[in-house]
Amino acid sequence: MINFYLKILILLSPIFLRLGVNFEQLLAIVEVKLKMDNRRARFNQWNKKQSESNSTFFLTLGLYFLMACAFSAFIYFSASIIAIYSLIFAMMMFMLAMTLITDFSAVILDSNDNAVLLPRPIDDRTLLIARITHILIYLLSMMLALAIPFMVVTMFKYGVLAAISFLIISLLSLILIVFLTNIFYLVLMQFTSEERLRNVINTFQIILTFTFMGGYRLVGRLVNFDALMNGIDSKVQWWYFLVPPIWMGNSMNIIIKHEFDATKFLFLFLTLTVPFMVVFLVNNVFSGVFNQKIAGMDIAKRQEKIPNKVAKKGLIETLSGIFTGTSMERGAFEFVWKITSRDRKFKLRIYPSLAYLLIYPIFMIGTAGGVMGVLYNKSSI
Amino acid sequence: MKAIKISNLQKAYGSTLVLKDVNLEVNSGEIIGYIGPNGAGKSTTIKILIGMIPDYEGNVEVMGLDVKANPLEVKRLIGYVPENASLYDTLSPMEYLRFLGSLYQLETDQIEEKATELLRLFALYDQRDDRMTTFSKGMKQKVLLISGILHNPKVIFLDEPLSGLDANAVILVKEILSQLKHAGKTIFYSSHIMDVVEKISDRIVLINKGTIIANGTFDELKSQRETGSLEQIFNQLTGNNEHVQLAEEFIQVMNR
Repeated sequence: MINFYLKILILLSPIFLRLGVNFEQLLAIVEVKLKMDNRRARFNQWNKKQSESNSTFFLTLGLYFLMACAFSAFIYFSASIIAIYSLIFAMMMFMLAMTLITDFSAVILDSNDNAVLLPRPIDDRTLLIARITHILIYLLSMMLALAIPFMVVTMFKYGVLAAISFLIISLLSLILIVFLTNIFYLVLMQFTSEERLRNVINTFQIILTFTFMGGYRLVGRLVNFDALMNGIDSKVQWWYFLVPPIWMGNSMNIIIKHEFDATKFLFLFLTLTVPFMVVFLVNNVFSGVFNQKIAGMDIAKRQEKIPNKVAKKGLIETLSGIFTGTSMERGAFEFVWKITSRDRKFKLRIYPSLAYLLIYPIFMIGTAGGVMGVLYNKSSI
Repeated sequence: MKAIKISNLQKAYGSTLVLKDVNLEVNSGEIIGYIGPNGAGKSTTIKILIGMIPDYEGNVEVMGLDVKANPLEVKRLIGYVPENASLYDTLSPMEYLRFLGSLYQLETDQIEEKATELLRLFALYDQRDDRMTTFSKGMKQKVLLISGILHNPKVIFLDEPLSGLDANAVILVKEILSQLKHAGKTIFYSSHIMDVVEKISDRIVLINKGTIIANGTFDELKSQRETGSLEQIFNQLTGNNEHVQLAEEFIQVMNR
């Protein structure tokens, strides 16, 4: 499968050569990075074998593709264009953002790179472009895996123009997400050291796992499927202007239904311009800081004393004094307490399950709206 | 032409001056033992010499080439074996070596052949296609060593190359270093392990707090200080005399 990507790159080799890079080296670097993407362990509770998998990346792509296929059926059943496309773009942007955040550290901030590649005779431009190419392949693959099913269904229901517009707007949303994530990371790096950064990334991985486990329930609660299917377009509320997926959903509306009015135009305008504004921001305001920070992270690690100090100085000891008898019990108490609160892998496995345990009863109790409610109402008629 | 020529090298990280006016010359075919306490500037010097840190003041030449002006040519000529086994560990040794070989633009069959042979000599032939995540530190160190010399460099920089190696591997590496020297390679060897440095180096360079405080053969250094082993000379020069006292206190506390 990697060879497929490499063949495409070889087709594009004139572009690379015109950019002045050493193409053989670039191919070698991109190939190795894709190979490593495939072998990176995904944090998965069900499939323990994933740390030995040889195609993690492609499996993830496959998963996203299937999810999109399942979801794309709704395009057929929904009379409201704004609602369904806003939802689709929301889902796509969310998936991309989550994947980026969890993989960003490995894909973009890879500090192993410096140790392995810098002593070799690779010029800066080749290295930079190889990195960018790899990242683009990674991002575009993710996006296309999600977008293609929707595109195909859009084409069947609303025509080729709509499908192409969908693709373009998807690309715009990708740009938006990438650079927003970039800003997110820059802000984080400003305030934390590398250790804490990993903890934050870890938190996001937990959120991602939790979302996979229980997110679909949440969607059923948040979205009023009744209104969705019957095309009741609610009035434009002020907060719509802050939510990118809604801009995009409205843009699709303009393209498909040719409904031109001031508000809708504003949405289209936002869709087309905000991504580029964010790029501009990152490029000019943030990028210098970004490169410095990555380069400096290695060195700063040795210079600073990373505050890994134990926060709860007295609490654990007091508690252990109260609840335990012998010094061995005490030791065990403190040990278990500290490990469960600090060990990353443990937290990653257990916390989503715990969170789910707490939220599940709430879902069961309150299902007034949502899928369950609709079915219930319909069945009682 | 000197293998290495450093004049007035200065390097600052922010406001801290890590290297202050370093001057050093190394002839081809010499083995230099580069020693110093932690934070003295050893790794920084090596990284500047191999072109990893392009931002410095002063003049640094390797095989007659200015490192700032010709970083790529310099990197083709040198080999680097870093200290903390940092490599792409989701790859297997063969994949890793194939990748690096291609970066030096070596022929594919040549890389294949060389890499397999070298792995076999280091007793890693059976693991050549296993992912390096399962490797011990010593095994990774061996792969790093191979990756540093695969392209037949003229000057080889080693940062703690023996750390993590078992006794057999240590003897093997020491012999390899000596053979490399006979083959005309220049070796720049940074380490804490004094007795190895003492035995294999032609010359010893001692750096402390960013400046070179001793530079000569082991005999020269001995005659200057009138004491026994390199360790003792090292302690003297770096002003470290408290170890006896500290050790005694250590035992006292343990016995309480």
